[in-house]
Amino acid sequence: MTRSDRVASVVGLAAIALLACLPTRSLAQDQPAQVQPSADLIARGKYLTDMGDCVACHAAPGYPKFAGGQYMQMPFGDISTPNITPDKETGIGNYTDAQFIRLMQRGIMPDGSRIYPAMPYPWYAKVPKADLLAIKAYLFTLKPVHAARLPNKIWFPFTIRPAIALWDAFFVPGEEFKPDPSKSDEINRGAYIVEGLEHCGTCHNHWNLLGNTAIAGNVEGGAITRWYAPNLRNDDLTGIGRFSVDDLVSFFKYGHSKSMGTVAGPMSETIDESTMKLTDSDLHAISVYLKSLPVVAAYTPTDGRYRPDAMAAGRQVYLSHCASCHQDNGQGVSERIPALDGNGMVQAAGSQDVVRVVLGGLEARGPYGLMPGVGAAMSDKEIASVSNYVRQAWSNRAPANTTTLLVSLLRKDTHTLLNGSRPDGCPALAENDLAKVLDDSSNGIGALLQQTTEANLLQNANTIISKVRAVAPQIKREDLVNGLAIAYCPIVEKEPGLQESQRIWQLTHFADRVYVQLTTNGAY
Amino acid sequence: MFDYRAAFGIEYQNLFNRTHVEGPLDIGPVLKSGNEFRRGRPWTSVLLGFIGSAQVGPFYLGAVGLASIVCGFIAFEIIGLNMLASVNWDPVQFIRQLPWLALEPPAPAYGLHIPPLAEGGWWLMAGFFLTAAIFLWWVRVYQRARALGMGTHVAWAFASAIFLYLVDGFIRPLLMGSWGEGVPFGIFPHLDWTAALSVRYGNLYYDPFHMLSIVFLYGSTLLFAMHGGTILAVSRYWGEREIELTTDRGTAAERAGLFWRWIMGFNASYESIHRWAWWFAVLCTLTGGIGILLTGTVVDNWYLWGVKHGIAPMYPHVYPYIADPGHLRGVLQ
Amino acid sequence: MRALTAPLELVALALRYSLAGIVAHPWRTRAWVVGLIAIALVFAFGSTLERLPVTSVQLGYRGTAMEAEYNPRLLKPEIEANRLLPALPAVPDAGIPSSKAYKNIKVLQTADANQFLRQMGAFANWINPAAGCAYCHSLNNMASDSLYTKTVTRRMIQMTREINTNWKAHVGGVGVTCYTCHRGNSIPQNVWFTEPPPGAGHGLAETGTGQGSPDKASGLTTLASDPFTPFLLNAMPIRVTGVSDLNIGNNASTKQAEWTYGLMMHFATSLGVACTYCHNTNNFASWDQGTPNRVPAWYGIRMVRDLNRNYMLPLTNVFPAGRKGPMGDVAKINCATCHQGAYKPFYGASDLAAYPLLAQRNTP
Repeated sequence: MTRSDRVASVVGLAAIALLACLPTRSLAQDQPAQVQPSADLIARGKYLTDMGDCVACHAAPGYPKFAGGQYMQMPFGDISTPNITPDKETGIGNYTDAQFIRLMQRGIMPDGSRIYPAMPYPWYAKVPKADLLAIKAYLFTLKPVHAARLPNKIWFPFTIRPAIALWDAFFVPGEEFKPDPSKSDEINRGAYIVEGLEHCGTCHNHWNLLGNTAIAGNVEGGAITRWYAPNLRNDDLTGIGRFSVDDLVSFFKYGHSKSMGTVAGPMSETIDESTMKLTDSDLHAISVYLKSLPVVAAYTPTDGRYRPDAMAAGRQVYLSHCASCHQDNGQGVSERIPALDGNGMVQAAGSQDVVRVVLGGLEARGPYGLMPGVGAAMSDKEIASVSNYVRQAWSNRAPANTTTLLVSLLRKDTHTLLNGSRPDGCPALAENDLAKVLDDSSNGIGALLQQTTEANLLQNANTIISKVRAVAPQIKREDLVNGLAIAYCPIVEKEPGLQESQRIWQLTHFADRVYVQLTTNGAY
Repeated sequence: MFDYRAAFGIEYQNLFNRTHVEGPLDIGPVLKSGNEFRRGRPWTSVLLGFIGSAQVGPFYLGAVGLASIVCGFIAFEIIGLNMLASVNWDPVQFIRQLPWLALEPPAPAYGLHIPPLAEGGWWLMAGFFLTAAIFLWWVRVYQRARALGMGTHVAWAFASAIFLYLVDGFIRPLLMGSWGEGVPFGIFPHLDWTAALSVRYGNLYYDPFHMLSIVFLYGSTLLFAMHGGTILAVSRYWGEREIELTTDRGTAAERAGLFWRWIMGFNASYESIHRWAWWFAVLCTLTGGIGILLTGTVVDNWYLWGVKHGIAPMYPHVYPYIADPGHLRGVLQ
Repeated sequence: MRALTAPLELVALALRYSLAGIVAHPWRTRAWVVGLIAIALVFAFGSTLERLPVTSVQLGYRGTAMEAEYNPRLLKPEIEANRLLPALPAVPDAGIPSSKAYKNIKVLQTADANQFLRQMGAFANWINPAAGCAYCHSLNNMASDSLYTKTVTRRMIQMTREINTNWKAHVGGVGVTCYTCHRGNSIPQNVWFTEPPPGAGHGLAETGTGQGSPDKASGLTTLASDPFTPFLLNAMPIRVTGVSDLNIGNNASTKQAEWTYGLMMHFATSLGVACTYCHNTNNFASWDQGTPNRVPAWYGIRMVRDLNRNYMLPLTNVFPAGRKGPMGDVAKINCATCHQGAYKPFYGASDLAAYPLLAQRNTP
């Protein structure tokens, strides 16, 4: 149970105890009939919808975008996300502007019932009504999808919804965002995005369910869904102090930057679905705003607190499983393999990210290669000791707080293509250029992939890449690496006589090979 | 001091009985001048005399006894502290690894020279103090026997054990010209040393003195069982009053003698059984000591010695001739 | 003093009265006797006896106790744990040597390019399957020698070939591959380092004598914690037992015997056998009373010495800190490195034929 979970349960129980059915605050009265929105308004609404990252939650795999259907894992149970397409029965097609604003800012449904703060309305409360209406205008241009909401799986006593009113009264700010006249326009713009639609604090605050940043610690880092969102304050060692504004902008735009390495975990969705789509000036504003916040260290750096013999054991594991790519000095390889020395995720107060990446690997992103799920073949003890090692090695001074218990818990949660622990089988290949190339039987690429085994995968990977390059030179490198790995997955699954671990290795070796072939163009 | 004899008029006796009896305690005779007095108020201990109650105390310390205890304590500390140092002063590891811990004799390279403390010097010193403690204790045993007007049988039996101890740790190393031949202090280490010694000298089991020693060792236990069993069996006829029955055979002695004559055609007498037992025990360590003394100094391979003297067989070959590759020409050494 | 022993005395008194009770009540006596016998049987069977059947293999003349006992039930998991990986399927030749197809090939340059890649794939599976190629190759430039692991691997390939071609006296036709030792571990699970010399860093106290600790190297005895440096790296004499009845100049000390004994315990535990696998224990030194298994073992000692001196030691400076022992020395080979508890690695199974590149003679 994380700290945020505990706080949430305490708050929830307090609410039950009081059972205070506070009157809901009244908002503007229903407005007269709507006018047809302008194209500008819709475009602005789309931009703001991206900024709010609505689609990240309001679309489950296999569901149309904005049709909901995803279960959000909250400390008090699983909440299903509803359909927010303008379908009149199952979506928001019947919402008036006032109802929409009340929902977004106060978390109150048109029927007066309260929604759970899985929806970041404590952050949206700060968004001006005009911006919210632009979002509504955009959502109403979507194709209505008929998709009824899935039932919530919430434990008693959290099922008593009126109690949320008490929580709201404490933690939902009453006012929309107001610029601070003493700060620059750019900082104010950044503050508006971070504290409003982008709702960074949902993950990056330590009590991230308490939307009110005055209480919850504004972007000082926090645990969320068994990942750890690092400190975004400007502290050199424990925050973003070492990264320039340009680094941050690049990171938000591409999911990687030269000094920050690549993104991992839920943030990659945020980048793909939201920040990647923002303008450079907005990204710049976010970065400048984050750098302008008062410096707060996430923890007191520890040096040598970790026992030397444990450090030596961690180093053994590091040399066996990590050092060949990340290098003995932890510097990685420029633009190929991220550095671990000074890495923001490695240095986060919580060690969840390190463990999860070791367990699940990372897909290729930009110039950075794919990281295999090396943890699949490592014991909990090995992972814990190597995590503590990298958090304390070189210039890193993060607390050596990884335990084998944490690793075993996270192992149960980590299901990726690269560690082979997929209860639902291989992931589906997205409908893209690569899928078309593989489906086209005339080029023989799909057939070659089918015949690829451990014995010939090195030479076959070379041939496949040169053939794909010949017919579809436009496919991006990381899409090829990730896509071919996904396409190869069912083939490895079907190969007879392999142990589970051998399947994982074979897939990883293939993906590695594809990446190497692409980065070096066969020049070796 | 409380005078039990004066108070109760009778003295302590350890009674064999199905009922637990605790009699008056015995303060012992008045010591002649030149002897120290005995300390402490005695008590009985069920634990020590598990069958019947043993009287504990009063204690006689004496200069020799005290010196022995001090020397023994010094040896104990040298051994224990060196063992503790070998686990880096970690008390937990000390207890966990205690059976394995050792204070090893010097490396053979030192011969009979005095090595540095950390490389066997402590072993020599511990050996010196332990030997001193044992010798002083022997003197104490001898002196107390004399003081009580007894024979000195116990002291000489003890001396036989000391002989084996000295052969192992002092005389044989001296003859071999190397302290390194001594026995390490430690529970498993001295057992491993024994095994290694046997392997080095072609199997001690073929050493006739080793054979004799084992005969006397097992024989001692057999005699002890036979004698103890017999006396207990006739204790219902006051058979445990062995000295009285030696001089004046009663029904217990008659029955016990008959029993063994009927069993095996021969019986030891109430007196001779103790000579049997004493000699078996003394010869066990005496022959053992001789066997070790000859090992290495004279005999290098007891098995081959045994084959030569018709003790051990040379077995037929079951495999085609196996050549020692070390003797083959042109083989990489 | 009496106060200290009082609790124990009480226990003794209680025991005494319960014993008196046994004597007084025969039926209780029987219950006690039956109970004690039951406890003894449970202890005996549970802790000391193996569940039958035990297979016994006679190794020498009858009556000499030269036999090997195997419990099939206990042997089964050992056999499971010592299985070869399935051999990679054969691939057709590319028709050009690897040195033509790739840059910076130094050991396998004459191999066909496709066979070379297949062999590379096998290396990945054998040594560090999770990291794969990346364990030895910089993903930036496969030809680069920037990773120390690549340098080590080249030497290890040569070592494997050396074993398979020049040490047939020990490995016979079975031979070895990387997997014989590595089994998917980047460092084989059984390697050894030289121990610090006696008394190093502990002041006056006698420590680090190489004895007097539970030594894994010599079967949890206290015989020798590092019987490898003198015998498997240096060539100290292993033979200590006298070869004549009376002493005619054999100066081997009892301590030397302990170290030799320690080494022999290592042999036995590494191979999962007892002394009688090679020796008649009535006279360990005798060759003609022992078994023929002693001959390959003799060559094995020389082989391991050769490998440690000529293949491992020269790599000392290639390995990074953390991979070296307390004396800064390189990880070295002993019997367990390959055998891993089996009298023959993988109980005699071999897949060397599937990897002919490893059975070739090193080019001088």
